[in-house]
Amino acid sequence: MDDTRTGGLSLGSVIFLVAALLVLLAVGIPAVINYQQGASTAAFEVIQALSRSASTRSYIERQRERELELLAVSLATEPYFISYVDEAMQGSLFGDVAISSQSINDQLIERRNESGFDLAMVFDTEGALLGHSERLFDGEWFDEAPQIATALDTLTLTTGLWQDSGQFYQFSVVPMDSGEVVFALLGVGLLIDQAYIDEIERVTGAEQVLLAGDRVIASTLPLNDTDQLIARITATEGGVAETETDQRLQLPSGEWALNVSAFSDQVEGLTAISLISVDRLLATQKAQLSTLMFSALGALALGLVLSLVLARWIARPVSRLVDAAARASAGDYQVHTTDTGTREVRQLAGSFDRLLQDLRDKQDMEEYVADLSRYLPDPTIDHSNSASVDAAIREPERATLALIGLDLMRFDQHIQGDASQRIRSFQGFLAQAAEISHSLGGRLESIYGHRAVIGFAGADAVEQSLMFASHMVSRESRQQPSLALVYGDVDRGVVRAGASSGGVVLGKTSAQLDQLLQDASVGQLLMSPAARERVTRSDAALTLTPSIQRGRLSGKKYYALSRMELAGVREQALSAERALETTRIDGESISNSPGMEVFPGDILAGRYDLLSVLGRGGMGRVYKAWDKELQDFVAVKTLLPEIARNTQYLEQLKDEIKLARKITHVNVVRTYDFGSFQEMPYITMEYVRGMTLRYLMKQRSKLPFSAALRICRQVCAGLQVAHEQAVVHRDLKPENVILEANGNAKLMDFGLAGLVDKLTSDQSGGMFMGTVLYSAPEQMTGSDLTPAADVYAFGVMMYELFLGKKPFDSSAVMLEVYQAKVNEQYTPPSEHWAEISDDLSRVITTCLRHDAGERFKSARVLLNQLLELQS
Amino acid sequence: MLTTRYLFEDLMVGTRHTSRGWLIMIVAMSLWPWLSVQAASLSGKIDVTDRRDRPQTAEYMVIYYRPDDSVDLTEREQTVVMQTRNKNFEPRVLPVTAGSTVNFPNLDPILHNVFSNSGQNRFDAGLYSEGPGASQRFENPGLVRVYCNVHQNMVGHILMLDTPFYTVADVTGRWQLDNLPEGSGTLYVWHERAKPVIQKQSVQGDRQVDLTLVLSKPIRPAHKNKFGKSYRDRRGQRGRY
Repeated sequence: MDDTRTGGLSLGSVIFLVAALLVLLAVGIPAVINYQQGASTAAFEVIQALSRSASTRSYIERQRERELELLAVSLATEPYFISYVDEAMQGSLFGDVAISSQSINDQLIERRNESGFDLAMVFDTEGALLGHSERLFDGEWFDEAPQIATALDTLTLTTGLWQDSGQFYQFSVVPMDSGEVVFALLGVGLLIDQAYIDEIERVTGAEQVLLAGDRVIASTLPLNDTDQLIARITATEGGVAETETDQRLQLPSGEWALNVSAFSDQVEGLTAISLISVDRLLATQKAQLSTLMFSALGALALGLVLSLVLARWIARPVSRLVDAAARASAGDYQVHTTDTGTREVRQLAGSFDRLLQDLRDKQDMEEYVADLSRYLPDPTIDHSNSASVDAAIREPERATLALIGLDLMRFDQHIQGDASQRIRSFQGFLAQAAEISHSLGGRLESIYGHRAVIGFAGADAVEQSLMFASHMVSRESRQQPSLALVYGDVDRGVVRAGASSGGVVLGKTSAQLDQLLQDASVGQLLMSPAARERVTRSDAALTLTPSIQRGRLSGKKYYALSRMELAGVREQALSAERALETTRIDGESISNSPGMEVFPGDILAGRYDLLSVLGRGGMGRVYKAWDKELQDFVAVKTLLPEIARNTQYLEQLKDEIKLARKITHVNVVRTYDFGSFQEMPYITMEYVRGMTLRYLMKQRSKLPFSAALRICRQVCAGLQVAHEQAVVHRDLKPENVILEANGNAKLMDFGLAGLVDKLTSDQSGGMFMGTVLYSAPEQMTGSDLTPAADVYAFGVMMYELFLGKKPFDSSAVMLEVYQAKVNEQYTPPSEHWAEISDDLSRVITTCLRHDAGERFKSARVLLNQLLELQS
Repeated sequence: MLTTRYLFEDLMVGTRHTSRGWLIMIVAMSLWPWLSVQAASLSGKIDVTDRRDRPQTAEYMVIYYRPDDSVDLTEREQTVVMQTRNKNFEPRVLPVTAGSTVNFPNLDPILHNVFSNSGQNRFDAGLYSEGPGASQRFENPGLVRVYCNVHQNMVGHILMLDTPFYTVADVTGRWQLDNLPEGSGTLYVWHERAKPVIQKQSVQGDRQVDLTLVLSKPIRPAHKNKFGKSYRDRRGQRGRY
């Protein structure tokens, strides 16, 4: 594992941290905002409360002043009172003024008792005191007293503060007049005392302290608080300052907010202090705030625990998945993931499981295919990139062979570049040589130095050798080999020395080959007498007359063929083959009309360099070819010339090809193109290296369950794509499934089967000549086909794959097979394999229903069933 | 405006009553000339100032002279009128010899009351509507302050004099008392806003006495409500409550 990816925080930590942060923010921000708002609200509340109490006090004072003024005015304008006072003041007409203060005093006391004021005084218009409700007096003058002076000056009602006998009064002075002639001043006062302050405290809710200078007139505060307050205030520079703003003061009974102001607008000299207990005011708020903080802390703690749980809940399945992925990446596919966690995690785990399952299957498949590939026959092994001698399957033997040697001693003269390029080029040459030899029935026996030895066995070994040589020299290449041909008995086999191994051909004949190769010129073939004898015998297929040439090095005389003569061998062979009419289809001739034949080495349509024959079928041969245009290997399938000659067939074929070309899927062999060469139609297809499923099944009668299921799913996936394009395969069978070396299965030959059916049934008088075993019942009766026909064939194939047995006897007469299919007379799957799952058994039997309507409607439905099967 | 009219009316009423007084006085003096030992007179001018010595004018300055020898007033009883009109007593000041009867007719279409607390002359005529009203005989000399108990602003001063020698100064402050018996006596100047001026006089022939009267009692400023405050101010303040 990459080290840089293992650092950093785990998912759980990240989720926890993020969730914790979110919880912290979600709880903390409102809590902080609330706290701050609460604090500012509280501060505001203090100011408000003070302001309210100040307003209320002011209002009460004004009301009291007004009450006082009303009292004063109503008394001063009361005619009897005026008359009385006037009378008391004026005395007689004829003597000195004899003011009856006693009468006035009496009247004032009477009126005080009636009206409820606390003090009443009468002054004359000079400011002399004439009457006093509270005390005795003698010759007191108040013309200097500001309030009296003002009243005398303005003759209007004045209200202010009055101090008498050490007590403070709110005091209103009003002129008394008789017929607008002011004859006296009446002063009426209300005492400013503890009772008044208590009332203000009761109404405003704020404690009150009243000061005259630093002397306490009245206070509602406890005694020691008052003392402390006075001490604080007098300690302040400049004494008591009026303030509207919120001041805080710590007194013995707690924190107080206070507001200092003059006692009233009209009364100077008295300072009123309103105090509000901050503690009491904020008690509720503090309780709320602490409740809030406690709940916030509680929520925070709960949130943290929840986020921890959440983080674990999310992260645990994920980390299990991570472990599983790490183990899987280390190659352990036997991991099983969890099915806990959130839906996404479960989906991920499910997908991961399927991926692992796929990997397991693929691993199994690859192991299986790798194992099987050891038994692959030559034609199906792709030698295009491998010119090595297959040693594994070669048993030592004594054989009579035609050996043809190739020497590329001047090979490197024409190759530019470094060693690897030269080696690669040499390998390409040998690969081609091997392909051609394979197609002609020979095989690569040995490679040494720049020489290769190819052996041909059988009666026409020499002819095939010459055909091979002809192909080699016909190649349009500057890399022309020197050639040698010998014939005789040799020992062939494989030798191993240390880690390397190689094929060897031992014997006199082999030594002869070396000798000839040394003396052969480029493009020239030297042959041994034995070989010449075979060439020139009377029943030889070829008419060749080797000339006698001298060896290049030794100067000895040898039978030799020039490049031109060799090239002529192919022409002779082609015409001979046409004459022999040797077209075979699975060993059975179905056509007597010879068409244009092509062979490996031919270049089809100037484009496809035919390399080898991959197979022979009902339609013609399949070649491996090199597409010179696209620079890629392709498979070329030649078709019977009858198709090209019949316009109807040709059109149908073209339609089928058009549809098939649309199918692009990893499990479908791609159809490329359709063409015609000298009346011979052909189709080009994707070239796939691998073996047919049929071959695999021959090797192992019964496939491992997981491998079989995997193949089925892949084939079905390919079939599904075809069905979606409205293409019915018609000829689904193991022969049409190719397994690549990596285990991937591909379905091939789409659309061609129908044509074959038509062709063959036309030729056989309406009789069905298709693949009996796999055809659906309705296909055998020539009914119209639906995807369900492919589903039936798929069912037969599954039966074979999973159970290793055929459901029906393919060697039986077709009618019997038909009846067996219609009656669904086949051995139940469980009798072949007791442990088969009910689901798989049901899928197979559903596919094998004789009624198309009862089968799975299409490959899609079938695929879903297959995907649900536990592998 | 109000003040102007008030003063004007006051002046007019005063003038009328003053001329009647003169008439009575002249008749009386012509009826009993023998009572006077020898005719003498006092005249003068009264300078009126306020307390700060600023010159003022004053109405209803009553000047009366009391000879040290008593004067028989039994035949000098009169019936005089102090009417209530426009919420005022008219005349505002009424000097009359003691034993006279004062009628208080009500010329206003509203109820009025007349009362006085002045010593032995106290009375209360009760409330009465427009009409001849009450009448009161005052036996005792002295100042009778007459009020209306429903109209605080109404006041009348009836000077019940024990001497027939009295007069009212004109607006310039000039006055004259004729037919005074020679001899010593006391000269009084009375004004409702001032302390009475009392001066011993020796009357012989025509004497000029110039006096100074200080108006010690101020007049309530006009245009004030009964609280003595500006209407405007009060209205302005009302909005604050």
